[in-house]
Amino acid sequence: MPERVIRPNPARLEPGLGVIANRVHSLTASKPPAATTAEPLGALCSLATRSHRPLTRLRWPVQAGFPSPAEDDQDAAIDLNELLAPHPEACFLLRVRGCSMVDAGIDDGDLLLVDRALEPSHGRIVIAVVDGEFTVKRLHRQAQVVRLEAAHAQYPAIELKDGQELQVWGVVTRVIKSV
Amino acid sequence: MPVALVDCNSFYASCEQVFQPRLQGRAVVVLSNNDGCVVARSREAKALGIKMGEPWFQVRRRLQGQGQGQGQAEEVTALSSNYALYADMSNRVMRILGRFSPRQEVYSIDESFLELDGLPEPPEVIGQRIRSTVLRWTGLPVCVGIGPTKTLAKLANHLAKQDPAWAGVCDLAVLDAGEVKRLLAPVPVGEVWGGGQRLAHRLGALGILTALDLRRAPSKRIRQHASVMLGRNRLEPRGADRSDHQLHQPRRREAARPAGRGCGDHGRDPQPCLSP
Repeated sequence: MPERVIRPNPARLEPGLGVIANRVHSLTASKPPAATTAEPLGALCSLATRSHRPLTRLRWPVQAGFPSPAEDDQDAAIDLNELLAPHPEACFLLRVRGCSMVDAGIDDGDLLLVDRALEPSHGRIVIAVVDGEFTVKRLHRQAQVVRLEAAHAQYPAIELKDGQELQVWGVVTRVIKSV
Repeated sequence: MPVALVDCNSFYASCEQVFQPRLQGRAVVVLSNNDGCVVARSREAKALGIKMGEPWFQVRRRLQGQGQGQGQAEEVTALSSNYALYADMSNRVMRILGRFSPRQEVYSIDESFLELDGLPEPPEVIGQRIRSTVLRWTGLPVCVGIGPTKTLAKLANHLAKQDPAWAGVCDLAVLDAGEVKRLLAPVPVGEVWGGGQRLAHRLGALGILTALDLRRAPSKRIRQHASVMLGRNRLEPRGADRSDHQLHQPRRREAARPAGRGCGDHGRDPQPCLSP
């Protein structure tokens, strides 16, 4: 029986990213890499819980005289989770592999923030499931025509055949790159 | 006084399927630490007769044996457990559920009770919305059982899981008393409270064998005889006792949750009618 047992693989931790979904590479090793796949990193909400607003610590001693005018604004820090992930329960991070979306500004190795709560509408960049694999493409959905378009001249669009069901896993909302 | 029990289907296996889409619709089992026993089975794996808690080497041997007899064996994908992932997905589901009702009791990693009182829509409609929201936001399928007490909500959830005709949401209130009896009579107690074999045995000694017996039994008597195991008011079947509709707060998971986000949020910011 062609079954596969995968040895315990403790979830890796990437600094600041929380838990990483256990995308076990031994499962995919035998397959040739797809044009642009995305590897789930998971768990933005773990990040949210960890970084969530520690108590503000006063940097100045209590003034006996005139108070510092900056004290009132001390808690006005930017919370990246709030800013980037309006639905923390539905937001996931995926890592891009491949270059079929370079003309859309999505390069190999970038992190994608994916919001599953959003409606996948025409023109949005989505994570779709094609033949059981994640792929990042632009969703074209107009006048009964549904296809997944790459953003690279050398990659043709993926046309959906009759009866073939398109599964959109989530809508990409942000690209995070290292510079 | 409707209470809903929301329960994720094949939770660990479903979590794996969310991130490995090729496993969707396939027989998937998740193994305990050190790959010893089966601790979760996808629907397809259940259909192959793989039992909960069965040692994996036995499953493998049996399926290999079948394969030799019948030519091609069914393919089963076995995965090591990834509890960090399941805990994260569980937190997501619980927070989504907390948006639907300010009164929530997280019962286990994949189950939560919700009080549905005073919400502007019929419980069944809310149940369907809970189901579709959790599925869309997390990719995890859930079933919702709704009843006047926690015990009956659990029974309703069991019915919703067993019979696809419920479309994942079973509200006992839509049934008349006779129908409830007909549905509960064949359900063994041990099947509803999975893993509670000792509990089932003990209730059996009291003559409570099926869900219907449980519903009929006077709750005082159950408590008297099985008080140790019923410490958390698992079984208050009739609704006469307040404790069965009161949700336990603070909840079990609270200690494990970081301060600041978690159950406190639900109380502070109830969003009973979420339209995603």
